[in-house]
Amino acid sequence: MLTAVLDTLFLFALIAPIVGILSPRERSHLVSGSVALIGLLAAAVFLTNFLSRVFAKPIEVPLGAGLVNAVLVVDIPGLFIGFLAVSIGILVVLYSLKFMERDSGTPFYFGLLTLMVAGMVGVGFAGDLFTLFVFWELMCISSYVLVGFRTQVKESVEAAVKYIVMSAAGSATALFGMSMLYGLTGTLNLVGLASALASAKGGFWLYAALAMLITGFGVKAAIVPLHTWLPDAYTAAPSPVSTILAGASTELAVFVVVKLLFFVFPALRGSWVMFFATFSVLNMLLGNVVGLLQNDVKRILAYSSIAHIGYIFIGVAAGTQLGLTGALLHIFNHGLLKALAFLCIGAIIYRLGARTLDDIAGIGRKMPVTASLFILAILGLIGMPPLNGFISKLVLFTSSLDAGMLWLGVLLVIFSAVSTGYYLRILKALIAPPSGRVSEAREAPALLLIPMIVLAFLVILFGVWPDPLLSFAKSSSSWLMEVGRYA
Amino acid sequence: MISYSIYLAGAAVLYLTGIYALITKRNLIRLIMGIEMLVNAAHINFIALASYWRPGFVDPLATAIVTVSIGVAGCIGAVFLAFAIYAYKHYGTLDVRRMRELRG
Repeated sequence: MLTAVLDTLFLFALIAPIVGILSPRERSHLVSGSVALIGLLAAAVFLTNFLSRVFAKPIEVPLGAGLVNAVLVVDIPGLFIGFLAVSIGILVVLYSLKFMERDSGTPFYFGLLTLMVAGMVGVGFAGDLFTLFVFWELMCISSYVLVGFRTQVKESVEAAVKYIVMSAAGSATALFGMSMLYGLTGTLNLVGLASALASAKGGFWLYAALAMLITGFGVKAAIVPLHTWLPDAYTAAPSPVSTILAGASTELAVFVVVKLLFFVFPALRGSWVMFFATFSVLNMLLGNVVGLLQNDVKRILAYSSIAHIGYIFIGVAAGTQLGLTGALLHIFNHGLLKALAFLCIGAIIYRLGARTLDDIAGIGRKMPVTASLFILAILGLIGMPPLNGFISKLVLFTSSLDAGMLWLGVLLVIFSAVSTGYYLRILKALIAPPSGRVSEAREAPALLLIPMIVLAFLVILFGVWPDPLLSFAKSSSSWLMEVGRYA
Repeated sequence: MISYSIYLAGAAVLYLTGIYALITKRNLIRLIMGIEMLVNAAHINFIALASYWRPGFVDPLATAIVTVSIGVAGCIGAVFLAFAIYAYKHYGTLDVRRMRELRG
Protein backbone atom coordinates (compact mmCIF):
# COMPACT_ATOMS: atom_id res chain seq x y z
CA MET A 1 0.00 0.00 0.00
CA LEU A 2 2.71 2.47 1.03
CA THR A 3 5.56 0.93 -0.98
CA ALA A 4 7.20 -2.29 0.14
CA VAL A 5 9.74 -0.51 2.36
CA LEU A 6 7.27 1.34 4.54
CA ASP A 7 4.85 -1.58 4.67
CA THR A 8 7.58 -3.85 5.99
CA LEU A 9 8.69 -1.31 8.56
CA PHE A 10 5.16 -0.74 9.85
CA LEU A 11 4.40 -4.44 9.95
CA PHE A 12 7.52 -5.26 11.92
CA ALA A 13 7.05 -2.24 14.18
CA LEU A 14 3.76 -3.84 15.21
CA ILE A 15 5.04 -7.41 15.41
CA ALA A 16 8.20 -6.66 17.41
CA PRO A 17 6.51 -5.52 20.65
CA ILE A 18 3.77 -8.17 20.46
CA VAL A 19 6.27 -11.01 20.05
CA GLY A 20 8.46 -9.48 22.74
CA ILE A 21 5.64 -9.32 25.28
CA LEU A 22 4.60 -12.90 24.60
CA SER A 23 8.11 -14.30 25.06
CA PRO A 24 9.74 -14.98 28.46
CA ARG A 25 10.79 -11.81 30.22
CA GLU A 26 14.53 -12.44 30.35
CA ARG A 27 14.68 -13.03 26.60
CA SER A 28 12.08 -10.50 25.44
CA HIS A 29 14.65 -7.95 24.33
CA LEU A 30 16.45 -10.52 22.18
CA VAL A 31 13.23 -11.76 20.57
CA SER A 32 11.70 -8.36 19.81
CA GLY A 33 15.08 -6.96 18.79
CA SER A 34 15.67 -9.77 16.31
CA VAL A 35 12.20 -9.26 14.84
CA ALA A 36 12.86 -5.53 14.42
CA LEU A 37 16.25 -6.34 12.93
CA ILE A 38 14.68 -8.70 10.37
CA GLY A 39 12.18 -5.99 9.43
CA LEU A 40 14.88 -3.39 8.94
CA LEU A 41 17.03 -5.76 6.90
CA ALA A 42 14.04 -6.57 4.69
CA ALA A 43 13.41 -2.83 4.29
CA ALA A 44 17.04 -2.38 3.25
CA VAL A 45 16.63 -5.10 0.61
CA PHE A 46 13.50 -3.41 -0.75
CA LEU A 47 15.28 -0.05 -0.82
CA THR A 48 18.08 -1.59 -2.87
CA ASN A 49 15.43 -3.02 -5.19
CA PHE A 50 14.06 0.46 -5.76
CA LEU A 51 17.47 1.80 -6.62
CA SER A 52 17.68 0.36 -10.11
CA ARG A 53 14.07 1.22 -10.96
CA VAL A 54 14.14 4.83 -9.81
CA PHE A 55 17.15 6.13 -11.72
CA ALA A 56 15.19 6.71 -14.93
CA LYS A 57 11.96 7.99 -13.44
CA PRO A 58 10.60 8.43 -9.90
CA ILE A 59 7.81 6.07 -8.90
CA GLU A 60 4.59 7.73 -7.78
CA VAL A 61 2.49 5.88 -5.23
CA PRO A 62 -0.90 7.53 -4.66
CA LEU A 63 -2.27 7.10 -1.14
CA GLY A 64 -5.96 6.72 -0.53
CA ALA A 65 -8.34 7.71 -3.24
CA GLY A 66 -10.30 10.49 -4.82
CA LEU A 67 -9.93 14.14 -4.11
CA VAL A 68 -7.34 13.98 -1.35
CA ASN A 69 -4.19 14.13 -3.38
CA ALA A 70 -1.67 12.59 -1.01
CA VAL A 71 1.19 10.87 -2.74
CA LEU A 72 4.51 9.17 -2.07
CA VAL A 73 7.21 9.79 -4.64
CA VAL A 74 10.13 7.38 -4.52
CA ASP A 75 13.02 9.29 -6.03
CA ILE A 76 16.80 9.43 -5.79
CA PRO A 77 17.04 12.01 -2.98
CA GLY A 78 14.45 10.06 -1.02
CA LEU A 79 16.44 6.86 -1.42
CA PHE A 80 19.61 8.70 -0.44
CA ILE A 81 18.17 9.69 2.92
CA GLY A 82 16.27 6.39 3.21
CA PHE A 83 19.51 4.45 3.00
CA LEU A 84 21.05 6.57 5.75
CA ALA A 85 18.02 6.08 8.01
CA VAL A 86 17.66 2.35 7.45
CA SER A 87 21.36 1.52 7.71
CA ILE A 88 21.76 3.48 10.94
CA GLY A 89 18.52 1.89 12.16
CA ILE A 90 19.89 -1.62 11.54
CA LEU A 91 23.13 -0.90 13.37
CA VAL A 92 21.34 0.78 16.28
CA VAL A 93 18.95 -2.16 16.71
CA LEU A 94 21.87 -4.58 16.63
CA TYR A 95 23.67 -2.45 19.22
CA SER A 96 20.59 -2.15 21.43
CA LEU A 97 20.26 -5.94 21.69
CA LYS A 98 23.12 -5.82 24.16
CA PHE A 99 22.98 -2.23 25.36
CA MET A 100 19.35 -2.24 26.50
CA GLU A 101 19.41 -5.71 28.11
CA ARG A 102 19.12 -4.30 31.62
CA ASP A 103 16.14 -2.05 30.83
CA SER A 104 12.49 -2.94 31.17
CA GLY A 105 9.95 -2.40 28.40
CA THR A 106 12.42 -3.21 25.64
CA PRO A 107 9.75 -4.72 23.33
CA PHE A 108 8.24 -1.26 23.02
CA TYR A 109 11.67 0.25 22.60
CA PHE A 110 12.33 -1.83 19.48
CA GLY A 111 8.86 -1.13 18.12
CA LEU A 112 9.37 2.59 18.55
CA LEU A 113 12.82 2.43 16.97
CA THR A 114 11.37 0.71 13.89
CA LEU A 115 8.54 3.26 13.76
CA MET A 116 11.05 6.09 13.94
CA VAL A 117 12.96 4.64 10.98
CA ALA A 118 9.65 4.25 9.13
CA GLY A 119 8.88 7.91 9.78
CA MET A 120 12.28 8.95 8.46
CA VAL A 121 11.96 6.87 5.29
CA GLY A 122 8.44 8.24 4.82
CA VAL A 123 9.65 11.84 5.09
CA GLY A 124 12.24 11.07 2.44
CA PHE A 125 9.59 9.59 0.15
CA ALA A 126 6.83 12.15 0.79
CA GLY A 127 5.51 13.75 -2.36
CA ASP A 128 3.42 16.41 -0.69
CA LEU A 129 3.70 18.46 2.45
CA PHE A 130 0.76 16.74 4.12
CA THR A 131 2.33 13.27 3.84
CA LEU A 132 5.63 14.79 4.89
CA PHE A 133 4.01 16.28 7.99
CA VAL A 134 2.36 13.02 9.02
CA PHE A 135 5.57 10.99 8.68
CA TRP A 136 7.52 13.80 10.32
CA GLU A 137 5.26 13.64 13.34
CA LEU A 138 5.57 9.84 13.39
CA MET A 139 9.33 10.25 13.64
CA CYS A 140 9.08 13.06 16.20
CA ILE A 141 6.61 11.39 18.53
CA SER A 142 8.52 8.10 18.61
CA SER A 143 11.74 10.00 19.24
CA TYR A 144 10.13 11.89 22.18
CA VAL A 145 9.31 8.61 23.84
CA LEU A 146 12.74 7.15 23.04
CA VAL A 147 14.60 10.16 24.50
CA GLY A 148 12.70 9.81 27.73
CA PHE A 149 12.67 6.01 27.61
CA ARG A 150 14.43 5.61 30.96
CA THR A 151 11.68 7.27 32.94
CA GLN A 152 13.36 6.40 36.22
CA VAL A 153 16.27 8.73 35.33
CA LYS A 154 15.63 12.33 36.28
CA GLU A 155 17.67 14.01 33.56
CA SER A 156 16.12 11.79 30.91
CA VAL A 157 12.61 13.00 31.75
CA GLU A 158 13.78 16.59 31.90
CA ALA A 159 15.46 16.36 28.49
CA ALA A 160 12.35 14.74 27.01
CA VAL A 161 10.15 17.55 28.32
CA LYS A 162 12.43 20.24 26.88
CA TYR A 163 12.65 18.36 23.62
CA ILE A 164 8.88 17.93 23.29
CA VAL A 165 8.12 21.59 24.01
CA MET A 166 10.60 22.86 21.42
CA SER A 167 9.97 20.24 18.80
CA ALA A 168 6.18 20.27 19.04
CA ALA A 169 6.13 24.07 18.82
CA GLY A 170 8.37 23.70 15.76
CA SER A 171 6.09 21.16 14.12
CA ALA A 172 3.07 23.38 14.75
CA THR A 173 4.92 26.34 13.24
CA ALA A 174 5.75 24.26 10.18
CA LEU A 175 2.08 23.28 9.90
CA PHE A 176 1.11 26.95 10.06
CA GLY A 177 3.62 27.68 7.31
CA MET A 178 2.13 24.88 5.23
CA SER A 179 -1.35 26.34 5.68
CA MET A 180 -0.08 29.71 4.41
CA LEU A 181 1.60 28.06 1.46
CA TYR A 182 -1.64 26.21 0.78
CA GLY A 183 -3.51 29.50 0.83
CA LEU A 184 -1.04 31.05 -1.59
CA THR A 185 -0.95 28.24 -4.15
CA GLY A 186 -3.96 25.99 -3.54
CA THR A 187 -1.87 22.84 -3.45
CA LEU A 188 0.50 21.02 -1.13
CA ASN A 189 2.04 18.71 -3.71
CA LEU A 190 5.78 19.42 -3.79
CA VAL A 191 6.03 19.34 -7.58
CA GLY A 192 2.85 21.41 -7.86
CA LEU A 193 4.20 23.92 -5.33
CA ALA A 194 7.49 24.09 -7.17
CA SER A 195 5.84 24.86 -10.49
CA ALA A 196 3.38 27.32 -8.91
CA LEU A 197 6.21 29.21 -7.21
CA ALA A 198 8.68 28.92 -10.09
CA SER A 199 8.29 32.53 -11.07
CA ALA A 200 7.30 33.92 -7.68
CA LYS A 201 8.53 37.43 -7.01
CA GLY A 202 8.30 37.18 -3.26
CA GLY A 203 5.90 39.28 -1.28
CA PHE A 204 5.21 39.32 2.43
CA TRP A 205 3.06 36.17 2.69
CA LEU A 206 5.42 33.99 0.72
CA TYR A 207 8.38 35.10 2.83
CA ALA A 208 6.33 34.55 5.97
CA ALA A 209 5.41 31.02 4.84
CA LEU A 210 9.04 30.24 4.03
CA ALA A 211 10.22 31.66 7.34
CA MET A 212 7.68 29.59 9.28
CA LEU A 213 8.55 26.39 7.43
CA ILE A 214 12.27 26.91 7.97
CA THR A 215 11.74 27.81 11.63
CA GLY A 216 9.52 24.78 12.12
CA PHE A 217 11.82 22.23 10.55
CA GLY A 218 14.84 24.17 11.77
CA VAL A 219 14.04 23.30 15.37
CA LYS A 220 14.86 19.66 14.64
CA ALA A 221 17.73 20.70 12.38
CA ALA A 222 19.23 22.72 15.28
CA ILE A 223 19.61 26.02 13.44
CA VAL A 224 21.33 28.10 16.05
CA PRO A 225 18.81 30.10 18.02
CA LEU A 226 16.64 26.95 18.08
CA HIS A 227 19.29 24.44 19.11
CA THR A 228 18.84 24.49 22.89
CA TRP A 229 17.07 21.12 23.12
CA LEU A 230 19.82 19.29 21.24
CA PRO A 231 22.67 18.97 23.78
CA ASP A 232 20.23 17.96 26.52
CA ALA A 233 18.40 15.39 24.43
CA TYR A 234 21.56 13.85 23.02
CA THR A 235 23.13 13.68 26.46
CA ALA A 236 20.22 12.32 28.42
CA ALA A 237 18.88 9.80 25.90
CA PRO A 238 20.18 6.22 26.00
CA SER A 239 23.24 6.01 23.73
CA PRO A 240 21.61 4.08 20.87
CA VAL A 241 18.85 6.70 20.80
CA SER A 242 21.43 9.51 20.77
CA THR A 243 23.00 7.67 17.85
CA ILE A 244 19.86 7.55 15.77
CA LEU A 245 18.97 11.14 16.70
CA ALA A 246 22.39 12.47 15.75
CA GLY A 247 23.04 10.12 12.86
CA ALA A 248 19.70 10.09 11.12
CA SER A 249 16.97 12.26 12.63
CA THR A 250 18.79 15.60 12.74
CA GLU A 251 20.35 14.87 9.35
CA LEU A 252 16.87 14.21 8.00
CA ALA A 253 15.65 17.56 9.32
CA VAL A 254 18.53 19.28 7.54
CA PHE A 255 17.61 17.31 4.43
CA VAL A 256 14.01 18.55 4.64
CA VAL A 257 15.18 22.16 4.99
CA VAL A 258 17.51 21.71 2.02
CA LYS A 259 14.79 20.05 -0.04
CA LEU A 260 12.30 22.83 0.67
CA LEU A 261 14.81 25.51 -0.24
CA PHE A 262 16.19 24.00 -3.42
CA PHE A 263 13.08 22.20 -4.65
CA VAL A 264 10.16 24.44 -3.68
CA PHE A 265 11.70 27.88 -3.19
CA PRO A 266 14.43 28.22 -5.83
CA ALA A 267 12.77 31.45 -6.98
CA LEU A 268 13.69 33.15 -3.70
CA ARG A 269 17.28 31.93 -3.76
CA GLY A 270 18.69 35.45 -3.69
CA SER A 271 17.18 36.05 -0.26
CA TRP A 272 17.69 32.74 1.52
CA VAL A 273 21.32 32.40 0.45
CA MET A 274 22.42 35.26 2.69
CA PHE A 275 20.31 34.02 5.58
CA PHE A 276 21.87 30.61 5.42
CA ALA A 277 25.36 32.07 5.20
CA THR A 278 24.56 33.78 8.52
CA PHE A 279 23.08 30.64 10.07
CA SER A 280 26.11 28.70 8.92
CA VAL A 281 28.50 31.08 10.66
CA LEU A 282 26.33 31.16 13.80
CA ASN A 283 26.12 27.36 13.96
CA MET A 284 29.85 26.91 13.45
CA LEU A 285 30.68 29.63 15.98
CA LEU A 286 28.35 28.45 18.72
CA GLY A 287 28.95 24.74 18.21
CA ASN A 288 32.70 24.99 18.20
CA VAL A 289 33.15 27.60 20.91
CA VAL A 290 30.68 26.15 23.40
CA GLY A 291 31.97 22.68 22.56
CA LEU A 292 35.36 23.74 23.91
CA LEU A 293 33.85 24.48 27.32
CA GLN A 294 32.17 21.11 27.84
CA ASN A 295 33.40 18.31 30.03
CA ASP A 296 30.83 15.66 29.12
CA VAL A 297 31.81 13.66 26.02
CA LYS A 298 28.23 13.32 24.80
CA ARG A 299 27.72 17.08 25.15
CA ILE A 300 30.94 17.71 23.22
CA LEU A 301 29.64 15.49 20.45
CA ALA A 302 26.28 17.26 20.54
CA TYR A 303 27.89 20.67 20.11
CA SER A 304 30.06 19.23 17.37
CA SER A 305 26.79 18.20 15.66
CA ILE A 306 25.63 21.81 15.78
CA ALA A 307 28.92 22.89 14.24
CA HIS A 308 28.65 20.27 11.51
CA ILE A 309 25.15 21.48 10.64
CA GLY A 310 26.83 24.84 10.13
CA TYR A 311 29.24 23.20 7.69
CA ILE A 312 26.30 21.68 5.81
CA PHE A 313 24.70 25.11 5.52
CA ILE A 314 27.79 26.35 3.69
CA GLY A 315 26.61 24.24 0.78
CA VAL A 316 23.13 25.74 1.12
CA ALA A 317 24.57 29.25 1.23
CA ALA A 318 26.51 28.55 -1.96
CA GLY A 319 23.15 27.87 -3.59
CA THR A 320 24.67 25.99 -6.53
CA GLN A 321 24.38 22.37 -7.54
CA LEU A 322 27.89 21.72 -6.27
CA GLY A 323 26.87 23.24 -2.95
CA LEU A 324 23.79 21.01 -2.78
CA THR A 325 25.90 17.95 -3.61
CA GLY A 326 28.32 18.89 -0.84
CA ALA A 327 25.48 19.44 1.62
CA LEU A 328 23.89 16.05 0.84
CA LEU A 329 27.25 14.34 0.97
CA HIS A 330 28.05 15.89 4.32
CA ILE A 331 24.59 14.95 5.62
CA PHE A 332 25.41 11.33 4.83
CA ASN A 333 29.04 11.35 5.95
CA HIS A 334 28.39 13.28 9.12
CA GLY A 335 25.55 10.89 9.90
CA LEU A 336 27.92 7.92 9.69
CA LEU A 337 30.71 9.62 11.63
CA LYS A 338 28.51 10.95 14.41
CA ALA A 339 26.73 7.61 14.70
CA LEU A 340 30.11 5.90 15.11
CA ALA A 341 31.20 8.41 17.75
CA PHE A 342 27.99 8.00 19.76
CA LEU A 343 28.17 4.21 19.57
CA CYS A 344 31.75 4.34 20.89
CA ILE A 345 30.91 6.55 23.85
CA GLY A 346 27.89 4.29 24.39
CA ALA A 347 30.17 1.28 24.68
CA ILE A 348 32.30 3.16 27.21
CA ILE A 349 29.16 4.09 29.17
CA TYR A 350 28.08 0.43 29.04
CA ARG A 351 31.31 -0.71 30.67
CA LEU A 352 32.04 2.25 32.92
CA GLY A 353 28.76 4.07 33.52
CA ALA A 354 30.55 7.40 33.15
CA ARG A 355 30.89 9.87 30.35
CA THR A 356 32.85 12.89 31.55
CA LEU A 357 36.37 13.44 30.28
CA ASP A 358 37.89 13.01 33.75
CA ASP A 359 36.03 9.78 34.44
CA ILE A 360 36.91 8.07 31.20
CA ALA A 361 40.58 9.09 31.26
CA GLY A 362 42.72 6.12 30.33
CA ILE A 363 39.93 3.97 28.92
CA GLY A 364 41.93 3.52 25.72
CA ARG A 365 44.35 1.16 27.46
CA LYS A 366 41.54 -1.04 28.69
CA MET A 367 39.19 -0.92 25.67
CA PRO A 368 41.64 -0.69 22.77
CA VAL A 369 39.20 -1.58 19.97
CA THR A 370 36.52 0.87 21.09
CA ALA A 371 39.10 3.58 21.61
CA SER A 372 40.68 3.05 18.17
CA LEU A 373 37.26 3.26 16.52
CA PHE A 374 36.46 6.37 18.56
CA ILE A 375 39.72 7.95 17.43
CA LEU A 376 38.82 7.07 13.84
CA ALA A 377 35.45 8.82 14.24
CA ILE A 378 37.12 11.86 15.79
CA LEU A 379 39.66 12.10 12.98
CA GLY A 380 36.83 11.81 10.47
CA LEU A 381 34.92 14.61 12.20
CA ILE A 382 38.02 16.81 12.11
CA GLY A 383 38.31 16.02 8.38
CA MET A 384 41.46 13.95 8.08
CA PRO A 385 42.23 13.05 4.44
CA PRO A 386 41.71 9.31 4.11
CA LEU A 387 38.31 9.42 5.82
CA ASN A 388 34.92 10.40 4.45
CA GLY A 389 34.60 13.63 6.46
CA PHE A 390 37.45 15.07 4.42
CA ILE A 391 35.74 14.40 1.08
CA SER A 392 32.52 16.20 1.95
CA LYS A 393 34.31 19.11 3.61
CA LEU A 394 36.41 19.42 0.47
CA VAL A 395 33.30 19.53 -1.73
CA LEU A 396 31.74 22.13 0.58
CA PHE A 397 34.90 24.23 0.50
CA THR A 398 35.05 24.03 -3.30
CA SER A 399 31.40 25.00 -3.57
CA SER A 400 31.94 28.09 -1.46
CA LEU A 401 34.84 29.10 -3.71
CA ASP A 402 32.70 28.38 -6.74
CA ALA A 403 29.91 30.63 -5.51
CA GLY A 404 32.31 33.47 -4.78
CA MET A 405 32.04 33.10 -1.00
CA LEU A 406 35.67 32.53 -0.18
CA TRP A 407 35.17 33.89 3.34
CA LEU A 408 32.76 31.05 4.15
CA GLY A 409 35.27 28.47 2.96
CA VAL A 410 38.00 30.10 5.02
CA LEU A 411 35.70 30.06 8.04
CA LEU A 412 35.09 26.34 7.44
CA VAL A 413 38.81 25.69 7.63
CA ILE A 414 39.31 27.96 10.65
CA PHE A 415 36.44 26.43 12.60
CA SER A 416 37.60 22.92 11.70
CA ALA A 417 40.90 23.89 13.29
CA VAL A 418 39.12 25.30 16.35
CA SER A 419 37.06 22.13 16.68
CA THR A 420 40.28 20.12 16.82
CA GLY A 421 40.66 21.67 20.29
CA TYR A 422 37.86 19.69 21.85
CA TYR A 423 38.34 16.58 19.72
CA LEU A 424 41.92 16.40 20.95
CA ARG A 425 40.68 16.65 24.54
CA ILE A 426 38.71 13.45 23.95
CA LEU A 427 41.76 11.91 22.31
CA LYS A 428 43.93 12.86 25.27
CA ALA A 429 41.43 11.37 27.70
CA LEU A 430 41.39 8.14 25.73
CA ILE A 431 45.14 7.61 25.77
CA ALA A 432 45.91 8.89 29.28
CA PRO A 433 47.21 6.36 31.84
CA PRO A 434 44.26 4.57 33.50
CA SER A 435 43.46 4.96 37.16
CA GLY A 436 40.71 4.13 39.65
CA ARG A 437 37.62 2.48 38.26
CA VAL A 438 38.93 2.62 34.71
CA SER A 439 41.64 0.03 35.43
CA GLU A 440 38.96 -2.63 36.02
CA ALA A 441 37.14 -2.00 32.73
CA ARG A 442 37.15 -4.64 30.00
CA GLU A 443 36.71 -4.47 26.23
CA ALA A 444 33.14 -3.99 25.05
CA PRO A 445 31.15 -7.14 24.17
CA ALA A 446 31.13 -8.33 20.56
CA LEU A 447 27.53 -7.33 19.92
CA LEU A 448 28.43 -3.70 20.65
CA LEU A 449 31.61 -3.89 18.60
CA ILE A 450 30.05 -5.27 15.40
CA PRO A 451 27.94 -2.18 14.51
CA MET A 452 30.90 0.06 15.35
CA ILE A 453 33.24 -1.92 13.11
CA VAL A 454 30.71 -1.85 10.26
CA LEU A 455 30.38 1.93 10.57
CA ALA A 456 34.15 2.36 10.76
CA PHE A 457 34.47 0.24 7.63
CA LEU A 458 31.97 2.51 5.84
CA VAL A 459 33.79 5.62 7.07
CA ILE A 460 37.07 4.38 5.62
CA LEU A 461 35.44 2.98 2.48
CA PHE A 462 33.70 6.24 1.56
CA GLY A 463 36.94 8.05 2.36
CA VAL A 464 39.22 6.11 0.02
CA TRP A 465 36.57 5.33 -2.60
CA PRO A 466 34.05 8.18 -2.55
CA ASP A 467 32.91 7.81 -6.18
CA PRO A 468 29.69 5.80 -5.66
CA LEU A 469 28.47 8.03 -2.84
CA LEU A 470 29.55 11.15 -4.69
CA SER A 471 27.67 10.18 -7.85
CA PHE A 472 24.63 9.25 -5.72
CA ALA A 473 24.72 12.70 -4.08
CA LYS A 474 25.27 14.32 -7.46
CA SER A 475 22.25 12.70 -9.07
CA SER A 476 20.17 13.49 -5.93
CA SER A 477 21.11 17.13 -6.23
CA SER A 478 20.36 17.19 -9.94
CA TRP A 479 16.88 15.78 -9.25
CA LEU A 480 16.32 18.36 -6.53
CA MET A 481 17.47 21.21 -8.76
CA GLU A 482 15.46 20.27 -11.86
CA VAL A 483 11.80 20.13 -10.99
CA GLY A 484 10.81 19.71 -14.64
CA ARG A 485 12.08 16.14 -14.66
CA TYR A 486 9.28 15.06 -12.32
CA ALA A 487 6.51 16.01 -14.73
CA MET B 1 -20.56 36.73 3.99
CA ILE B 2 -17.63 37.33 6.27
CA SER B 3 -14.35 37.87 4.46
CA TYR B 4 -11.46 35.46 4.82
CA SER B 5 -9.25 37.98 6.49
CA ILE B 6 -11.23 37.71 9.72
CA TYR B 7 -10.52 33.98 9.99
CA LEU B 8 -6.90 34.45 9.04
CA ALA B 9 -6.49 37.27 11.55
CA GLY B 10 -8.11 35.09 14.18
CA ALA B 11 -5.68 32.27 13.40
CA ALA B 12 -2.74 34.67 13.59
CA VAL B 13 -3.93 35.98 16.96
CA LEU B 14 -4.34 32.41 18.24
CA TYR B 15 -0.84 31.57 17.02
CA LEU B 16 0.68 34.59 18.74
CA THR B 17 -1.22 33.77 21.94
CA GLY B 18 0.26 30.28 21.82
CA ILE B 19 3.78 31.64 21.34
CA TYR B 20 3.20 34.07 24.22
CA ALA B 21 2.08 31.18 26.42
CA LEU B 22 5.16 29.14 25.50
CA ILE B 23 7.50 32.03 26.28
CA THR B 24 6.02 33.32 29.52
CA LYS B 25 4.34 30.35 31.21
CA ARG B 26 6.30 28.03 33.48
CA ASN B 27 3.75 25.32 34.17
CA LEU B 28 3.99 22.20 32.03
CA ILE B 29 0.22 21.97 31.62
CA ARG B 30 0.11 25.55 30.35
CA LEU B 31 2.91 24.80 27.92
CA ILE B 32 0.94 21.95 26.37
CA MET B 33 -2.02 24.32 26.09
CA GLY B 34 0.23 26.75 24.24
CA ILE B 35 1.31 24.03 21.83
CA GLU B 36 -2.29 23.01 21.19
CA MET B 37 -3.08 26.66 20.43
CA LEU B 38 -0.34 26.77 17.81
CA VAL B 39 -1.62 23.60 16.17
CA ASN B 40 -5.22 24.79 16.21
CA ALA B 41 -4.26 28.13 14.67
CA ALA B 42 -2.87 26.20 11.72
CA HIS B 43 -6.09 24.15 11.57
CA ILE B 44 -8.26 27.27 11.40
CA ASN B 45 -6.03 28.59 8.64
CA PHE B 46 -6.41 25.40 6.64
CA ILE B 47 -10.18 25.27 6.99
CA ALA B 48 -10.61 28.95 6.14
CA LEU B 49 -8.41 28.66 3.06
CA ALA B 50 -10.07 25.45 1.82
CA SER B 51 -12.85 27.38 0.11
CA TYR B 52 -10.69 30.28 -1.01
CA TRP B 53 -9.50 29.07 -4.40
CA ARG B 54 -12.75 28.11 -6.11
CA PRO B 55 -15.99 29.80 -5.04
CA GLY B 56 -18.64 27.30 -4.02
CA PHE B 57 -16.13 24.46 -3.67
CA VAL B 58 -14.52 23.34 -0.46
CA ASP B 59 -11.26 21.48 -0.95
CA PRO B 60 -11.49 18.16 0.92
CA LEU B 61 -7.68 18.11 1.22
CA ALA B 62 -7.80 20.71 3.99
CA THR B 63 -10.45 18.79 5.92
CA ALA B 64 -8.41 15.61 5.59
CA ILE B 65 -5.29 17.38 6.81
CA VAL B 66 -7.07 18.87 9.79
CA THR B 67 -8.68 15.56 10.73
CA VAL B 68 -5.35 13.74 10.67
CA SER B 69 -3.54 16.58 12.35
CA ILE B 70 -6.02 16.64 15.22
CA GLY B 71 -5.13 13.01 15.82
CA VAL B 72 -1.43 13.81 15.70
CA ALA B 73 -1.88 16.70 18.12
CA GLY B 74 -3.72 14.30 20.42
CA CYS B 75 -0.71 11.97 20.36
CA ILE B 76 1.68 14.81 21.18
CA GLY B 77 -0.57 15.89 24.03
CA ALA B 78 -0.72 12.35 25.41
CA VAL B 79 3.05 11.86 25.27
CA PHE B 80 3.66 15.28 26.81
CA LEU B 81 1.21 14.71 29.66
CA ALA B 82 2.76 11.31 30.35
CA PHE B 83 6.15 12.98 30.72
CA ALA B 84 4.58 15.71 32.82
CA ILE B 85 3.47 12.99 35.26
CA TYR B 86 7.00 11.55 35.39
CA ALA B 87 8.45 15.05 35.83
CA TYR B 88 6.07 15.62 38.73
CA LYS B 89 7.15 12.33 40.32
CA HIS B 90 10.83 13.28 40.07
CA TYR B 91 10.70 16.96 40.94
CA GLY B 92 7.49 17.28 42.95
CA THR B 93 6.44 20.26 40.86
CA LEU B 94 5.31 21.12 37.34
CA ASP B 95 7.39 24.30 37.27
CA VAL B 96 9.95 24.08 34.46
CA ARG B 97 12.26 26.54 36.24
CA ARG B 98 12.92 23.87 38.88
CA MET B 99 14.08 21.34 36.30
CA ARG B 100 17.74 22.10 36.14
CA GLU B 101 19.67 18.85 36.13
CA LEU B 102 21.08 19.57 32.68
CA ARG B 103 22.80 22.77 31.80
CA GLY B 104 25.74 24.03 29.84
